[in-house]
Amino acid sequence: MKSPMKSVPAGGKLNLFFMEMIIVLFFFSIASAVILNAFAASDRLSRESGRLERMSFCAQSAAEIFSETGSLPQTLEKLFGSNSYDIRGDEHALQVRLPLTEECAYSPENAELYMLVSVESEEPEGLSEMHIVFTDGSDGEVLYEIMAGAYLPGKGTVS
Amino acid sequence: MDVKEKVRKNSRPAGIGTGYLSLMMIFVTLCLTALAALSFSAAENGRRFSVRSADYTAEYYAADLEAKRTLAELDTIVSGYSDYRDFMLFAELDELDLDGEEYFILPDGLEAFWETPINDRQNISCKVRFSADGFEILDWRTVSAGEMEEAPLGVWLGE
Repeated sequence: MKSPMKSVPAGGKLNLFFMEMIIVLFFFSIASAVILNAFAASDRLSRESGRLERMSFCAQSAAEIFSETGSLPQTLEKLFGSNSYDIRGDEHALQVRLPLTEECAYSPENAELYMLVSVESEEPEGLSEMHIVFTDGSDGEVLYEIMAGAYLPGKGTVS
Repeated sequence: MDVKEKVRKNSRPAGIGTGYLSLMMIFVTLCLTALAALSFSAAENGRRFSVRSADYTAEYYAADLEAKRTLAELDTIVSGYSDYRDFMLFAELDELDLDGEEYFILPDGLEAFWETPINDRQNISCKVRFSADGFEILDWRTVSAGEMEEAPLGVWLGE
């Protein structure tokens, strides 16, 4: 019976080849780890910038609707559709906390973000200020903040 | 020495020689590094653009709110007067000390012009007409701040 060792060429060329392969794989694995981290970081940055853009657009839309209507329920209805929103407060100040997805769609079941909207009436009558804060769904970190207003003299207090 | 032996002695060994693997690894690693760097750079640029855009949106709506506050103050003052030539009206308007304020008395009303700064480079330019029926916004747009005064070019005129 032939020994398998006999198929190894003389002069240790195969050993040299395997040694090189081991060294190459070692350095390649280190380089790959660094490169994969760079790819993961760019993916994270890209996701963050996309989310920030969507939050900005959402806040901008809310600000525009509010400046025309001066009403928080109407703003929410035009922005997220007719759902039952838990709006709290009195005639001078209203507040609502909306659970949103990463795409800024209203979703009470899958809250990845929270949009806190508060509206206060100011002097003189008809002037109201809206404050929008986006927070992270997991750690509550403030991600984006915007203030807007409406002046509708015939409207009176906030509604 | 027969022909077969000559051919066997001159021919190279089969398979990948020593060093080729290292060269391939270096080439692949360089390619991956370049791609990772490009991807990271693009993501970072995108994030920077999103942050700038979101910050500008927040600045714009904060300035818009401030301009609406000014409008509300002007409306409150002007609505207290039926005669727009009353010097007391102008004394009250002067107390507001608005940026770039200008007032024009019209036969049936008063036109007010002022600017609210958004940032160092841009303002919201507002022009509103007040009359017995209320107010009408004639102009509400973004303009660049610190427009250069018209100065003659230093051209030799042949004198």
